[in-house]
Amino acid sequence: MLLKKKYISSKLTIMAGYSKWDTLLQLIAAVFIFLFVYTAVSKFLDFKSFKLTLHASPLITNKNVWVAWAIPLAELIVAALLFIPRTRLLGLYGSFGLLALFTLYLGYMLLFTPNRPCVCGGVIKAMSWGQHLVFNCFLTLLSVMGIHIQKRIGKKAMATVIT
Amino acid sequence: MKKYTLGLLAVALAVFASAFTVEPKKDTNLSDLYWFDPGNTIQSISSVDVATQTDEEMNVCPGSGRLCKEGYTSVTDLGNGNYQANGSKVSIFKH
Repeated sequence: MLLKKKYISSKLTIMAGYSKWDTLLQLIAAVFIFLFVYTAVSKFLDFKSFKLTLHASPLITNKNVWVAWAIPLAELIVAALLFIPRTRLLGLYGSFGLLALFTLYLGYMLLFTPNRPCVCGGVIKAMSWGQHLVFNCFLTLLSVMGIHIQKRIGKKAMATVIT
Repeated sequence: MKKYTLGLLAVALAVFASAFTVEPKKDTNLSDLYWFDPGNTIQSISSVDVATQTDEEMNVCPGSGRLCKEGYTSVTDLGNGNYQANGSKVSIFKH
């Protein structure tokens, strides 16, 4: 009886911990879903201008048409992966990849390009390049945090199944 | 279903927010704009009509980087032949 009580209480502790981390992970995923859907839809709504701005970017120029399609589509795919709990880890890796790429692009543009056309979507356009870089670094760190939490939850779930 | 609540809320908020914060640019009549060199918002207005230039001519127009000319919808006369760019900006790029 005592053993059974102890087993139930340890299982409840695991569940409580799991729930706390799971809520945090859901919040992180929701932040990225919001960000990626918002920027993708904003780009599609002002597609012509987005394509033109990409053309002005020294790293992209003539590849602007397929990049203009690829970026918002990749953002929507990552948002969909984050939305489904089973594919969330993949979505978090995708978020990290996209954000790291955008951050590197921002860094390159800040260092090497005098005329910098902003290729971002929606209100993010209103940020200065420096602010945008800080914002992206923060989000990249958030995605790393999300990956760690997802892995932690995965391990705990495995431990619960084994015990 | 509970697992999807936050995600659904995020999608709905994102679509709602983008619908209200993105204003698709209307087609501007380029001949109605006032042309400035890239990065300059105060100068004497360019007499070059960028809108009538051919692609080939656009390749040789001045300006570092890839921006070629910036057109503004309105200007303020500062006197002594200089003008301050106002209104919304349209950038013309090199091809």
